[in-house]
Amino acid sequence: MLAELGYVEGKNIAFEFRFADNEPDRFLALADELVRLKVDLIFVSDPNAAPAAKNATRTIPIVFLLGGDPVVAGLVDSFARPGRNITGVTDIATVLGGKRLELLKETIPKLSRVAVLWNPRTSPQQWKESQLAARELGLQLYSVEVSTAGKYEEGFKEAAKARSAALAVTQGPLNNTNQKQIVDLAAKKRLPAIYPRRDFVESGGLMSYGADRTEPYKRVALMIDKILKGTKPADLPVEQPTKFELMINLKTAKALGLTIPPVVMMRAEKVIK
Amino acid sequence: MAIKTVVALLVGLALASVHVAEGQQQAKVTRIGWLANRPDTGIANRNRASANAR
Repeated sequence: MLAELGYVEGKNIAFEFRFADNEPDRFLALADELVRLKVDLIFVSDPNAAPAAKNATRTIPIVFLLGGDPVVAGLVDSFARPGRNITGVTDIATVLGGKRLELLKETIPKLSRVAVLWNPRTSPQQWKESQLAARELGLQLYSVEVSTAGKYEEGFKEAAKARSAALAVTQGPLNNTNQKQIVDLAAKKRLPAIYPRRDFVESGGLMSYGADRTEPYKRVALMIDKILKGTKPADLPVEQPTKFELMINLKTAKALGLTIPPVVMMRAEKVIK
Repeated sequence: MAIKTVVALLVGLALASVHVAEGQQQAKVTRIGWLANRPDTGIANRNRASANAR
């Protein structure tokens, strides 16, 4: 299909990949490396990569795909007028943290104590938003801070000790790349959990609510297209997704002895039976 | 999902590269720097080995 469109990787387009591998301190050096290579555009998909790229260049266009608020993160001046050489798409994971708690409460109406799994390095905004939502929902949150893959087991033990009756997992690179471990630990501790992406549910997680994963990438692709054709990033407003999906795994619900209320089931875009 | 995501991204990039090429006498190789924590898509996974080798 790509060949039909005239695209040949290595012929008219090439990618220079740089990965920090859970060592966010490496992003500065990696961004500098891309600048030295004089790439035409830098695409970033990590909350720590974006400021590193922004600091590394004021001329090379940067396009981000992130979960937080880029204004709060200091990446852009505003959504409408980003300002410098950087713009992108946010999947508004920050706001969705509150929505996930709301869905958990609707799923388990008697719920009062919820553990929130978050990474202080990448998702402090989501934790703050979760706290605000919890107050309105009458939920008591237990903070499970995990910033390395080796800390999940300990975090789940703490959550169980704190008598958390459910778990909300925040969006972030560390959680995304350790989804199997998280899903397995939630099953082991018999914690009903809500996740930010559907692939957690496909791996056996109970339920997920988040932006459609395809749409933001399409928007990023269109944005890159415009920039390569000459539009300045400063003139391209930051975009947000418009499609959101709730996914439920009934096999996992059954294993947990949980009945999903019809009002929640009716809103599910996809159900695993 | 990963395949759809990659296809969507690359379609956009392909179109971009075609448009860029149309405006120039010689075909230019547009280079995209991809900065992330770990590969999250098929294309990134596929190129991970070469990226790390450099």
